[in-house]
Amino acid sequence: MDANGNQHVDARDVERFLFHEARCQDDPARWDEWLELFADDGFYWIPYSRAQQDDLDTPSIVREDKVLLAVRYGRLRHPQAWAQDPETRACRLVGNVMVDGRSAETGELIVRSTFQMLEFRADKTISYGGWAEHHLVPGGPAGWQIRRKRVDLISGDGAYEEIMQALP
Amino acid sequence: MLTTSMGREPWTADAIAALVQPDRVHRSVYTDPELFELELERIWHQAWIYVGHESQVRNTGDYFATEIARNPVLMARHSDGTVRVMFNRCAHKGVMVARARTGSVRSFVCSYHGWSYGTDGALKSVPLPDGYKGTLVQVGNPEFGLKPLPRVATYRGFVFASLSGEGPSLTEFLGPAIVGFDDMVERAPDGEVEVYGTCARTITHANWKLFFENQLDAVHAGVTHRSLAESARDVGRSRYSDPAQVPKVVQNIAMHEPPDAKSFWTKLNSSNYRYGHGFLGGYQEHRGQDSATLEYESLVKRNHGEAEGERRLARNLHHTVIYPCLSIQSQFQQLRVVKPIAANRTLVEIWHFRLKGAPREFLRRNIAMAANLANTPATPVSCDDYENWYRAQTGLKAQAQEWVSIHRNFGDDRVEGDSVHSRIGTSEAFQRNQYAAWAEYMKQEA
Repeated sequence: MDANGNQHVDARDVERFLFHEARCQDDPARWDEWLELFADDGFYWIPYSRAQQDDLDTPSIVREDKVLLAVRYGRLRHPQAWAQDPETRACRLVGNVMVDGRSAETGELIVRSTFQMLEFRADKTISYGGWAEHHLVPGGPAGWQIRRKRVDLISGDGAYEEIMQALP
Repeated sequence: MLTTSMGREPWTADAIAALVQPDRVHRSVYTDPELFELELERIWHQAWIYVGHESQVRNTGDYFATEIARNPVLMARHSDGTVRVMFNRCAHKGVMVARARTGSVRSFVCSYHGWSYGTDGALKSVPLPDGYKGTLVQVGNPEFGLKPLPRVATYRGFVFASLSGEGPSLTEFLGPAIVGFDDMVERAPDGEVEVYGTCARTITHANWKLFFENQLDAVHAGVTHRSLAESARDVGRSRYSDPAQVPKVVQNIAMHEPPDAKSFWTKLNSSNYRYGHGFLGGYQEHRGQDSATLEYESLVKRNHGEAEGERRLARNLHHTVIYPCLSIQSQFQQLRVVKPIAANRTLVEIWHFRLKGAPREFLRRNIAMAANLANTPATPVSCDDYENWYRAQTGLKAQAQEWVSIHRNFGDDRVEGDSVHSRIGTSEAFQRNQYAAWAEYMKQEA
């Protein structure tokens, strides 16, 4: 326990959580499990630029709370989601995981990682890459809950060959 | 006259005129590469094309690099305060003088041999000037500057250019569809808008006209976006016991219902004008009773008067199409810019605008309701539109049927002078008007 009353964090434990998250995202049968990794007031955010400071003061590629994420994933599973016929398959590789300390304001654990994601659909594979920043709090069946996940794509302001349907 | 590479007859005026009939369009209008080249010449090189917004080049030396019908162009703020639009092409070897999409410069310096140009495009210096003695290459000779576009005009901060030296003025060209810009700008308590940083950029693997057929289509939403709407209804029902507590953004998504003769869509008539422009009445209840909206509305009325403020706030447009290059979602300050690349490839860039003087919470609400939802490279809304455009582009290769139907409510259009109004929102009147404009452009010899 440190001076602020925070438990010591095992970096391996946090890394396992991120791998678990990627595995849930990769498997359509586990998407609900992925959504439940978010705290009730958690949100998922992909800004256009690394310079963006606030999640709602400027437009973003994705900025969804748990309710909007549930709407997005409900669509992905719907039989008439035309852009999911054929379906998208995606895999995510997460690395360079570092526990970078705690937020001074909220005490949330700040974890940074690097990812690559491949998205395949209808004979075309598209690659995405970038950095993720997770703000975690203890809790939930997986041991941690996501208060905020920020994803900075290296292609943030680029032209997208397809509308992204899988989220990193 | 272009000749075809396929060994077919070239496109004669008669052959082109036969492609668009009052109730149907020939499939080659979407698929033929030679017709696409002719469209660039006869439509895109003639019309006023959107370049950018003045707020993108706020300070002297700021520039924005873009394209007009594949021509690389620069919009730059010159030292005299004016916004200039010029070709992004060095007079020496044709090299683009700016590669990044935005930047700020004292002068544009060519990366190849170092010719430099002012922010007005004038040639400032060349290396080894003695080598040009007795030639036309001289500082001061406008032939060796970055050439300005033949015509440039601005409406309320929105900058347009034309590759043609002749034609209607910008306001004459925009006609009554100018209301799309008025609606966006007049929603700002301070009467001005400015862009937010960057734009959403997505490729559609389809012809540019399929985008415009979709913008005012009041039938597709309940079919195309059914999956998202039903998901939104499910989430609303399962997570909120009181329907009034369902977030407005989720309520708006849930509104798309399958085609129904009694739906609200039938009541949103389209108004269509010369050059292919038009708009559809709005359906999304954008005003709301939340504190951010009420504060915003009181500011609009304080600054512009009760009656004028109410007029500005009550206006409700879905999309306004400025053919062939723009779709304006003015109530949510979104501007979709269409850039043709090939017959089957189109770049769509969506700019998001900030209402100056609006409260922060209201701006955040608009970002959540529009910019982050239907206007992003990861949109769960338009992804199914893009899918349909691709399927159309591919389906139209089938040689079984030669024609695309624009029959819905054909014969029922209300014509007033050179404007065409639908009598029912689900009419394809706007598509008939777009293709009539297409045919009018395409019969001109370039």
